[in-house]
Parts: sequence; structure tokens; C-alpha cells
Amino acid sequence: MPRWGMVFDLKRCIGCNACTIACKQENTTPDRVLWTKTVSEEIGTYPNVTRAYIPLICNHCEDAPCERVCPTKATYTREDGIVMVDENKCIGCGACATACPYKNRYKLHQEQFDRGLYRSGQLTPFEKQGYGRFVAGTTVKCTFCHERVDAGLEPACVITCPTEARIFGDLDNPSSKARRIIQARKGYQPLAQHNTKPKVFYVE
Amino acid sequence: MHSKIYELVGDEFELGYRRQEFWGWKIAFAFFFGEVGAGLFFISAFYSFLLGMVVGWIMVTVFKPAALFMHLGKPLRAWRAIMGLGHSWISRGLLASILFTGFGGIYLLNLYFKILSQPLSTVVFVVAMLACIVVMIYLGFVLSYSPSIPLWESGLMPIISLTYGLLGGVTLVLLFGYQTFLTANPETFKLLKALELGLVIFCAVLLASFLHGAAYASDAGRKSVSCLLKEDLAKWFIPSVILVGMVLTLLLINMAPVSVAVLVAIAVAELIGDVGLKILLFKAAIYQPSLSHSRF
Ligand code: SF4
Ligand code: SF4
Repeated sequence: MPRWGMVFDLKRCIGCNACTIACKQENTTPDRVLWTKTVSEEIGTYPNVTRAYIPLICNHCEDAPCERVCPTKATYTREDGIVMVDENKCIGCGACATACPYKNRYKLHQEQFDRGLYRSGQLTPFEKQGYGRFVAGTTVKCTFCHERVDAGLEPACVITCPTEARIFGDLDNPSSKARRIIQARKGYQPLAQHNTKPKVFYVE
Repeated sequence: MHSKIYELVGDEFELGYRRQEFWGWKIAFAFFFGEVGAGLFFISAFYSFLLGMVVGWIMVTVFKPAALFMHLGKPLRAWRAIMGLGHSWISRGLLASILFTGFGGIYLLNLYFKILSQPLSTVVFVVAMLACIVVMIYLGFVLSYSPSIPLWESGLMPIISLTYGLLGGVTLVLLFGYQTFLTANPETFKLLKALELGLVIFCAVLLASFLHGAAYASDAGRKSVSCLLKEDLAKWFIPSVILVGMVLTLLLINMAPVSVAVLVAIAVAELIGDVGLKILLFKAAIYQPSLSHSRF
């Protein structure tokens, strides 16, 4: 069984947020829900200033605090390491959202599904179809595009990234590209001090 | 610890501290009713003060779930929250609340109708009191159990919950009992007044240690404390939690001659401080940035 993870190459990310759009398109996430995005940070002082772009996503932590605090067991980890939320069990208590140190969870509200994202406010056929997968009042997060992964494909953000700054692969397979990059370039995890053991790594 | 001081950011695509937005006043009130109700039941039980026990039981059994249901996204599935007993303090708290509702209710009925034998009544009482203690402290465990928010990640949290629960209980027993069982027991009245005084001072010391610890735990913790004491939340925290909840309560306990009006004022001041603290603990909760380039 693979153990899926992702690597972000910070040298390659240009902050175009094509990944953000690809994710929204793939998953039909409603207004104000971004399962992945790229934030930026100003580094240095004038006149030697530059901007770094940092992609963020659910880290599918091995020891996920969101799963630990979930009172209903709606949050669970699949055998391949993908952390999921069962929308039929979630009560929308928000405990997982507060417990995620990376703030990578979103609570859905009915009004997010009542209005379309286009100016007219009408739901498009795409939105009508896509919103059917969500349950208002529950909590959602990135799923590593589990349907695509199950079909042998890579997550939408990965195939869309024009600079190949996102590398998806089996962290237990020594010959996977993700694993090799982590080893060769000393990949590090976000907020590693919390011992959540993220399956997302960054390399510089 | 990050070496760079970040700004608080909202939905912008900027790296920075982010505020917790998932828990707010509804869940603060739920825990407030749970803690104060359990505290009132606990203290009243020592004096077999039926009115206090009934009001405390109603707060935990009716008001707390009402506030929680308003918060939940799917309230009709709330029963599912019992499933995570092995790992979730919310589940453990829910179990304790159910036990308290059941055993506390039976105990109250027994006080009135005398339906149980003495040994059985003792068992019911012990279970109700144990559950009552868990109801008082579990918010502290819920908050301290997650590594996400440095302000909350403190071993003092459960003690703060317990102390505020007991303080609320003593305050309301003084108020409700003043013209009932305490009239005939001036010694008990004095004892409860002294207990109230001690608990307010203990709360002040606890809060000072808690804020001090958070400020030195991490930059995000320092930012939370700064929000509470100097920045946007200071205009709420200092007047409600410190001035009204502690200073005014202490002055009223010590200085004013006792009357119903003064006891009402003490209760209002103390409970404002308590509920204010709970709401502000949620508002001041800040996440660290997920990554920081300035580390490298
Ligand atoms: S990043 Fe957050 S939501 Fe994702 S698995 Fe870790 S704790 Fe859970
Ligand atoms: S919001 Fe849902 S997934 Fe999150 S802790 Fe509550 S029940 Fe679990």
C-alpha cells in the first residue's frame, strides 16, 4: 500500500495560483473555500527585497490533530494515508478546524450554496452538479483528489502546476520522485515541532 | 520559534498570523452554562441546597445543549459525538454531561420523593458528582489538547475551567441561598464569602501565569496576549475580565454591607468576567504561520 505525500519546490513556485483554480475546478469547492492556495512573504529589506511564494494544502498528517479531536470519527485516515472527512458523520462542531495547526479546514454554510459565483448570482450547471457532493453544516478539506488518485492519476493541482513545483508520490517508495527529492534536497515539514508528521514536504 | 514578527492576516494570500474563526460566542456560552451550572450543583450538593442543585442541573441539561445546538452545523446528528471516547475530550465531556443529566436528575428526584435506598442513593450521588467535575473541567482539556493555538496549549486550561466553574457555583449559591438556607447558617455564609474571595484571587493568579506562559511560548502566543492586553481586544478584556470580573467582584465582596442587591451585583460582575474570558479566549486564538522563510 502506498503512502501518498506531496513535495513543494519553493525554488520553482511563481505564485501563479493555477493550482488554486485547478482545485476549485476539480472539486467545485464553494465560495471562500480554497483547499490549496499560494501565500507570499516579503523577504529582506529595501533595496534588497524579494518575494517568496509558499503553496499550502492539507498536509494529510500521520498523527493528525484534526482526527484526534473529532468526536464522531467523521475524520479518518485511509490506508494510503489520505485524511478524509465523512460528510455523513460530521456534525460540524468545528473541533477539527480549530485543532488543525495549519488552518486547512473549512466549515460549509448553506448560504455558500445558495448563490453562484458569477455576477448574476445564478448557479451554473457546473455549480449545481458539483455542490451536490457537499453537505452544508459539515467541515471539509483537501482530499488529495482521492478519486483521481484511486484511478491512478495525480491530483489536479499537481498536473496543472506550470513549473512542476508540486510533486506527488509514494513516500514509502525509495524510487518515487517525491521521495528522491526529499532525500536529495533535505525536505522539511511545516511546523514540524508540533509532531503532526505532515506528509507534505518543502524543498528549497 | 519564528525569528520574524508577522502581521495578522485575514483571507489575503499573505503569510502571517491567522485568527481562529470556527468557535465563537455560541460555544463560549455553551461552556459557560456547563461550567457554572456544574459548579452550582457541586457546591449546592454539599449543603443539600435543592434550589441551587435544580438551577445548576437545568443550566447543564437545558441551556448548555441549547447553545451547543445553535453552534453545530448538523445538530440532529449530535448523538454521534459520543463515538470518539477513546481520543476526543468533546466525546468524554458529552458522556459526562449525559451521566450528570441522568444521575443528577435521579438524585434530585430522590431528594424530593425518597425513592431510593440509602446505598443506592449514595452511588447515584457519587456518579453525579464525578460527572459534574468532568463537566466543569473538560473545556480546559478540549482547548489544551490541540497544538494549533499556542494561547490554548497550556496545562493551566483545565484548572482555569475548574476554578471558574467553582467560583460561579459559589457566587450563585451565595445569591440564591441568602434568603433561604444561609439565613439560618451565618457561619456557612461567612465560609462561602471567604471561598469566593479566595477563588477570585486564585483566578487572578492563574490568569496571570497563563498569559505569562503563553507570551513566552511562541511568537503567536505573544501576539495573542498582546491582542488581549494592548491591541484590539484589550478594550474588552481589561474592562470585562479584569476590572468587572475581578476588581469589582473583590471590592463588592469586601466592602459593601451584604444585601440582596449587593449579591446580585457580585453575581453579575463575576459572571460577566467569566463569560467575557471564554469569548475572548476564542477571539484571541491565533495560529502561527505554517512556514517561515525567515528561518533559513
Ligand atoms: S493539515 Fe490539518 S486538516 Fe490536514 S491532516 Fe493535518 S491537521 Fe488535519
Ligand atoms: S466538524 Fe466534523 S469532522 Fe470536524 S471534529 Fe466535528 S464532527 Fe469531526
